[in-house]
Amino acid sequence: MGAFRQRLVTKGDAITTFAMIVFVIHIWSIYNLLVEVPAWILRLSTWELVGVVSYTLVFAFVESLIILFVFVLIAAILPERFFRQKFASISVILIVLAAIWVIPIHLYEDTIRSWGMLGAVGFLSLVLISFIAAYAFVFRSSKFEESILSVAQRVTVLAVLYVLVDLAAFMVLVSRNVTI
Amino acid sequence: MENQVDRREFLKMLAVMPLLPLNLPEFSGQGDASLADQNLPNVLILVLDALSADHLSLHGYPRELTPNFERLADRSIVYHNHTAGGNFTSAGTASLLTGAYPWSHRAIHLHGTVVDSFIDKSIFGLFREKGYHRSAYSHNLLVTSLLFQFREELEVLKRTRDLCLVDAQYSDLVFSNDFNAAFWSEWLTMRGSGGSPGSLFLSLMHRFYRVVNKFRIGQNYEELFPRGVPNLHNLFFILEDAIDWIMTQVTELPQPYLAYYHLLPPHEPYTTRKDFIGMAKDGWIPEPKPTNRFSQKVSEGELAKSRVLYDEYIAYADAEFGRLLDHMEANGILDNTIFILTSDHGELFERGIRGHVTETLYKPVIHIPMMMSLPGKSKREDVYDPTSCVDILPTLLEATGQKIPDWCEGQPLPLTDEDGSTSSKEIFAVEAKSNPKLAPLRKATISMVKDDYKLIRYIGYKKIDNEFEMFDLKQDPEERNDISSSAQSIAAELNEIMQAKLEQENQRFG
Repeated sequence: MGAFRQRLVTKGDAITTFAMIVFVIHIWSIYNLLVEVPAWILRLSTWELVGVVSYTLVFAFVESLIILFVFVLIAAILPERFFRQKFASISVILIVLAAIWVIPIHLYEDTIRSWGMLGAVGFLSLVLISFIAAYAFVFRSSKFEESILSVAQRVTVLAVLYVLVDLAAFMVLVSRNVTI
Repeated sequence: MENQVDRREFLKMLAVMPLLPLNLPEFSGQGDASLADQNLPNVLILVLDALSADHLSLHGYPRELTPNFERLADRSIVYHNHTAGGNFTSAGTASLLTGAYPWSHRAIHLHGTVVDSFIDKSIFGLFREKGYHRSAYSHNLLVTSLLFQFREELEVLKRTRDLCLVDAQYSDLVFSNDFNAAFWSEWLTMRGSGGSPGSLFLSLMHRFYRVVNKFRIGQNYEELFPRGVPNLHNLFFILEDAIDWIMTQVTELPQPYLAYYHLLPPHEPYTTRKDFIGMAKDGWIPEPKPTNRFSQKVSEGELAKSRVLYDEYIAYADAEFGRLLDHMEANGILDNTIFILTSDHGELFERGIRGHVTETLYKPVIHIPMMMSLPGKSKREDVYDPTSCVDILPTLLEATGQKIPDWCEGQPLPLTDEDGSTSSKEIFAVEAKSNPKLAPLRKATISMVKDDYKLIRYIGYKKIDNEFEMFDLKQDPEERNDISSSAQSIAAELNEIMQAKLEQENQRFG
């Protein structure tokens, strides 16, 4: 157990990474909520609308935890110098890059699908190359690493806000589900 | 003062109070059926989703693909001019279950639910009072949302997933006390309701899971269902499973029971079983109808192809229905059961429109089958008076000796064509997906049948505000010729009646 604990990332690194994950996931989730809310206002009562928004926010929080868990697990498995040593900077840049690639998949799904198998392989290759390049750059340039961390730390303030809202959403969710 | 309870007795009473509910029917597991008169007939309502009466030979359709519906018709009252409350599931089903039109219950949106004041005004609540055992199931999640609202009045609400091969949803499992809000959020998070999914990363995994399931199920059932396994939004099912379950229910449910079963076929996608492929490929193409302002511009060729697929899917639904009918006949179930076969809305393959997602209310999309088999009646009756799905609730209440509540907008169905009690009443259908749920209807399509005429009014649409069409149903049952300009006085009269009704209904939401 002690050996496993040694392989875990530091609390500070985990918080920095979590803040960036929360930021990215919530921005997307809230953007989609805002797109849908006008239609929901037509069809839902206020309490129902609060319920739907709460479920969506709580889901975003859970998704953030799952992604963090995946990063922490990979860091624990890999040798320290590959990931754990620069956990916060690598995971922050990877999550941002992943979001940059995934958002077009959601937005232009039909176009991407029309590219066929060859297009998909090409797209995945680009994603992979960008990940490897960013990973390598973190190790090569301490300035790059510092700037990533400084952005992540600024994002932390916003992430705390999101987590607080998630907490309120969780309370709503409990009140809607618990029957006395 | 002699009757005063002393402290010791009071404490004894307090001690046994928690046990008192065990004697009440709703806690003792007996259900209200223990209070019921065992001589009351069972009530079984079977809804086949999106089954247009215009596609059934018993209503004059040239393709004869539904021998089992005709078998039921031979011993039933057949309503030839029966109309749905709306042109899609939520509106039509809520009207059937509450006996009220969409402008009252307000389940007017996709996955719409009734207003809070209607939650205790369903058929289930009324039959609970009479001591009926109440059971319901639906393949269609839009109906599941409604049944969830009525769950307090149901003794058995079977989950949609229980009769499906795979169900990728999680809301009903994790948030069973708050299914509707959780489900709406899940839909946004995992699939995106119209736009992108709200979950950035996990939605991709969910998509992958759905694709894998679709592939696996497709492979397993490829031989039986070459056009794909029956499904709606990747909720895959085999109709045979649902029919088998209903067979056990109708024999095993405590009597008297009220059972509402809502099955998806022939709702799109039209993936019939292999035995029915090719049955409707006879080259027949109906004469085109005038293109409508809401046309989706689907070509006549495409419409004809879709019509074939739909008709062959209906043939599959009919065959499975035949198995249920055999079972009911063999076990004498029809002898003590009021059995209703109907639908929630129809389907369109004309005027450049395919399916039922449309602002229009032309006949094929609201003309639904309605057959009612009564205990002890084995002779067919044909009723041609216009009737509506809101009439089903008052009919059943009357048949089981119950009072018809004042909110009910329907009236008991005539039992013969000579009855004439409903021949001059107005029959409405409402489409209002773009109107706010709790506001007066200002953007909607409303149709009204009165005497021999049908008026369709379009309210609040861009460039088409307050325009209407009128058809003479006697001369032109296929609704080809709009006579609103040639019969202006009749149109004005009907329009006035509709306007008065609309204003009256809108007042509640003003």
